[in-house]
Amino acid sequence: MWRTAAHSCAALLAAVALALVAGCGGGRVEEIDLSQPGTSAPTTSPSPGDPADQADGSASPTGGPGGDVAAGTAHQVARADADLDVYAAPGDTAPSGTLAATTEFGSPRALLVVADGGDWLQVALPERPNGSRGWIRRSDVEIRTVDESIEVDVAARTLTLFDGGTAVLTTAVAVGTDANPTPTGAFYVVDKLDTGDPSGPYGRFALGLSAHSTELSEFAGGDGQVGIHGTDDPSSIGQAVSHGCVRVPADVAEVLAETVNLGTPVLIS
Amino acid sequence: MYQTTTDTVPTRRLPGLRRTAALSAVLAFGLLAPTAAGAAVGQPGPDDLTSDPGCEPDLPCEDGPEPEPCDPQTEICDFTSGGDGPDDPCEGDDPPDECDPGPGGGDPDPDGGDEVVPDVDVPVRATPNFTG
Repeated sequence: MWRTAAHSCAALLAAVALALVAGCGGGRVEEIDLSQPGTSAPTTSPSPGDPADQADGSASPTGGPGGDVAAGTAHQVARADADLDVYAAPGDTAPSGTLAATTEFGSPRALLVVADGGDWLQVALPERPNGSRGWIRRSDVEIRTVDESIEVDVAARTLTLFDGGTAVLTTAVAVGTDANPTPTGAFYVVDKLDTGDPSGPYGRFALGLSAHSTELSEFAGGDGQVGIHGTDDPSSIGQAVSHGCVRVPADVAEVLAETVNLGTPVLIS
Repeated sequence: MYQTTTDTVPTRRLPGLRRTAALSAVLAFGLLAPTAAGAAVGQPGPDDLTSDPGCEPDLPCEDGPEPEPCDPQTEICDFTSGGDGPDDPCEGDDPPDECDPGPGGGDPDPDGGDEVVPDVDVPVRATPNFTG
C-alpha cells in the first residue's frame, strides 16, 4: 500500500529532479518508447508536470500518464519481493513512500518501467491520480520483460491482445457509462485474480489495472480500481454499461489469465 | 659356487660356472637319489634336494613357462567375491548396485537462489472489488 501523504507531488518533484539530472549530465535517462506501432497514435495527452517532458531533448515523452503501450517491443517490469521504497527523484536519500511487497489481493508487486536511468528506474505507480510515477532503485527489484500488451478502444468497445506486436485476439467488450467512464491512458496489469466463481459478477478471472475510476473513489469496499474481467451478464458485452471496468467474455478472460503477466501494458483510448 | 635351493622358484645357473666331474657326481647323487632314498626313508624333508621335481640330473632347472594370462573375454569371472584390485585382468566390472539411493538427498538449492520463474504469473485466488 502506498504510504505517503505527499505522493501526489511526486510527479512534480521527479520532473525537477530529472531536469537537474539531465542538465548536469550526471546520468542520462533513457525514456522507454511505449508507443503502439501498427495502431493509431495514443490519444492521451501528457500529464502536466510529467517528468518525461523535462527529460533531455533526446528522450521523447511517452505521452500517456503512465507511458504509452508498445506492442512489438519487450517492456521492462520491476518485480519486488519486499516492501519497496519509492523516491520522488533519482538520487534522493529519503523515500517519498513505500509500496507493500504484495497488493491488497496478494499479487506480487510489479511495476511497469517507463524510464531507465541506470541505477534508478522510473516506474508507473498504481495509485491515484492516474499517471503517477516514481523512482526506484534498480538494486531493489528484479527486472523482467513482457512481450504482451493490451489495447482497449472505448469508442469501438473492443479489446485487442498483442503478442510481440502481433494482434492475437480481438473481442467486443463492455465499457463504462458516460457517468462512470472507463478511464483512458496507459496503464498496466497489477493483479491477476482467480475468483473461483465463474457465475459471479466478475466471472472466473479478473485483471486488476493500475487505473482508477475518475468518478468513483470507492466501489464495493475498494478504492475504485479498474479491472478487465468476465461477467455474469454476457448480454452486456458490447455495451457501455459498467462502472468503468472492462468486461470481456468468459473465454477471453480465461485466455488473458493464461497469457498476460503482471506488468503487461494496457492502453485504454 | 653352485647353489641349490628348495624354493619352488627354478634356480638359475650362475654365470661362468663350469661343470666338473665331481660336481656332476654330486649332482647325480643328489638328483638321482630321490627314487631310492625317498622310497627307503619316506617323504623328503624340507631341505631335500629331491623336492625339486622336473629337473633332469644333467640339466639345470629351467624357468617354467610363463603363465598364460587369463583371457578376460572368455574366463568366467566370479563376481560373488567382490571387486579385486584394479589391475586384475580377470576382474570384470562390478555389477551395478541395485537401487542404491546414496547417502541422502538434501536440499539441492539450500540458498533458495535461482528460483524457477514460471512463464506466466499464476492468478491469485481472491475476490476482487473492482468497479465492475
